[in-house]
Amino acid sequence: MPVSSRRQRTLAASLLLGCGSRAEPTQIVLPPALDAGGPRIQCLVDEDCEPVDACLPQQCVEQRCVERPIECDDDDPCTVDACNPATGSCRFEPLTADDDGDGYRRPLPGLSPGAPGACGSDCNDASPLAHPDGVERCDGVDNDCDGSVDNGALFTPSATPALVLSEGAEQGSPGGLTFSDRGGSYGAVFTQRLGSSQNTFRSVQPQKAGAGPAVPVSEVNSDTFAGPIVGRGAVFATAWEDRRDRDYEIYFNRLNARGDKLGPDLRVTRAAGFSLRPTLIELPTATSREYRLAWEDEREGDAGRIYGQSLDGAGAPIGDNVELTPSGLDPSSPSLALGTTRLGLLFNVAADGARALAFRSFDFDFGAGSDVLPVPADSPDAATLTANAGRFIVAWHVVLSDSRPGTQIWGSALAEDGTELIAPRPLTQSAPFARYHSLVPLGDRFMLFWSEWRNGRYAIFANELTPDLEPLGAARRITGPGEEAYAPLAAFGPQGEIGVLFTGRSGSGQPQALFTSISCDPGADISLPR
Amino acid sequence: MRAGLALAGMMLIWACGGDAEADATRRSNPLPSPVPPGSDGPLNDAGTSPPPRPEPEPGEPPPYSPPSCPPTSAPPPSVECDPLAEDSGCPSGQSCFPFVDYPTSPCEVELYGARCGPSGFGVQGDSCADSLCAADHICVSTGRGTLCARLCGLSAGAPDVCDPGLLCLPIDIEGFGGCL
Repeated sequence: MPVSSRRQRTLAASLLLGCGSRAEPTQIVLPPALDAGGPRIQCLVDEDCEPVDACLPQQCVEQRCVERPIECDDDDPCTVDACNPATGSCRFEPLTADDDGDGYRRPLPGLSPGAPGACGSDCNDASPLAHPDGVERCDGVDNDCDGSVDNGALFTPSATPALVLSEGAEQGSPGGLTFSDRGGSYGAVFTQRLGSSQNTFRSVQPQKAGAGPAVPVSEVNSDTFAGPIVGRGAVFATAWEDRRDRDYEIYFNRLNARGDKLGPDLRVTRAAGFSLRPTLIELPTATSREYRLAWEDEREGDAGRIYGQSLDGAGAPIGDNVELTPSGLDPSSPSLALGTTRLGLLFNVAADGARALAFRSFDFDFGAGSDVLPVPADSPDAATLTANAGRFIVAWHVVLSDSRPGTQIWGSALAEDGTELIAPRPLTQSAPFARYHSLVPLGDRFMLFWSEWRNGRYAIFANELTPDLEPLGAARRITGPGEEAYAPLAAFGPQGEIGVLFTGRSGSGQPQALFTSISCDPGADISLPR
Repeated sequence: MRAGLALAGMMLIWACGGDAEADATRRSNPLPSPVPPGSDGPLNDAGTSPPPRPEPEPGEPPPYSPPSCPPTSAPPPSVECDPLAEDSGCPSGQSCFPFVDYPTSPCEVELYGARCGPSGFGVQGDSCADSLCAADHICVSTGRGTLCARLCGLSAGAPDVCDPGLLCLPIDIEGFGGCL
């Protein structure tokens, strides 16, 4: 950086004074560079150089100011090394966050907790009760980070009646369920018919102790239909479809634990044709969170594609809608799941005049899509993809030629790249009809909820299965004999409780959105505080 | 998580004919009020003991107050015939189908109704992507594509016309469902 003329004058005075202190000067020759019009001498000593950035100090080398950047490197790959430009001091910030404050950081996305280079060993950075030195207890989290949740515990259906969440409505049906560890309540979204179909939120207290007021998720007069809800911290995120703009479009918003919106509705799609059936996941990043959303989209005609959208933690779109499937597959009913190293996308496709399943994986930004892989399944419906213990569990029910459901819930297991690990097999015993299911991953096992036909109506059952799809016990009915119940959606609550949102009705009443739960009962394998 | 993908996503694809514009009349958007204590029966009422709403967390983003639509009255349905009756009242060669006309702006409402129109041959489970459904059936967007489904009534007292194993699931037309 050139010095100013004023600085040159100051330099000259100093030089004279300095030279005057030397012994026996006989002649003082001023450097010609001190003349602004002469040769470009910038400095005589380091102090003559004026860095504007403390991280870029300058030295005087051969009468020129040369930057000598401060190198901040602590040789720790798990820190972000930076120099403070105001002070010139080095800062070494951890690369990953410790959101829950338990002293253990989360791993980098795509790496397992504690893996080399993961920069974190916390298997659950949303819960301070989960870390590598934790003690397993009945609370729905992997306290000791051994990969299993509530090891060895049994789950007991609740004996108390289910809560009606859509009371007073003509009908109700579930959309999604999650639990706020910070708010201490479930967040349930459902569609209730009150003159129009209304996407509605209610917080639900654990142990069915009650529910908060119904809060409209979409405050328009046109029909709106509840979709998935995610998030276990202070912020929920939900996506849904409505037709406020004549055509069905996908919308997104974030809510607090009470259901209050945190911003205006985000219209995610703006294309011709229906956009339906959103699937949503929360994606932890190194220090924050983002969201990934997918849906079926007819913008290119009836045989559309699955599209996706990335959103940041504040709910702002990252880039545009992206095509997640090629044309010509007539895909529908996408189901996204967050694996350890990849995003998995399962969807229903047309195949030789029938329907089948297909799988595709992506990096966490919907990039690097794999080939579309067929997932063997005979006439599947309502298929879901769930990440569990480094693999994906696929589950579905069968639709017979007369359009009635088959007799069992089916499943298979895939590696995160789509390679089949376990071939399709029934997950439930045979019943007259079985349909609709929900999975809760537990690491060394998973909990399956489904509805099956008993004595002329549907009831909801639950069972635990191994990652290899082997049942661990007998199925247990979790809804009462006097009510019809189907379409369960399950999510972990507190103290190992699992909440279940479902459609149910009593007698000849109209179907409503209901909530029940099963509780964690510590098994003999572990010593758990009660 | 959302397993019952087909449930909330049953959208009417084709409902015979018309494309009348939605009535711009507005209607209220009521929400259920807490149900008074003392209700009984097999299903507990979530409103019997509503707990206080959780307090905001420190550092929680402030809530947003969205603009809401003014209260709007639902327009009366435009009923030309009865889709669920044995004799729908439609001319020969036609059948009665429910329909919905979508709103054109967020504060408008749907116009529901039923009218006569040509019917096809698609029955329960048949694709209706390129053809019409038969009388007593309706074309809906399901998780397995667009299919004909037996029409059923969702109003109280409506007869159960669905085969065992099928459910009369709501579609996006007031009062009607599809056997799915």
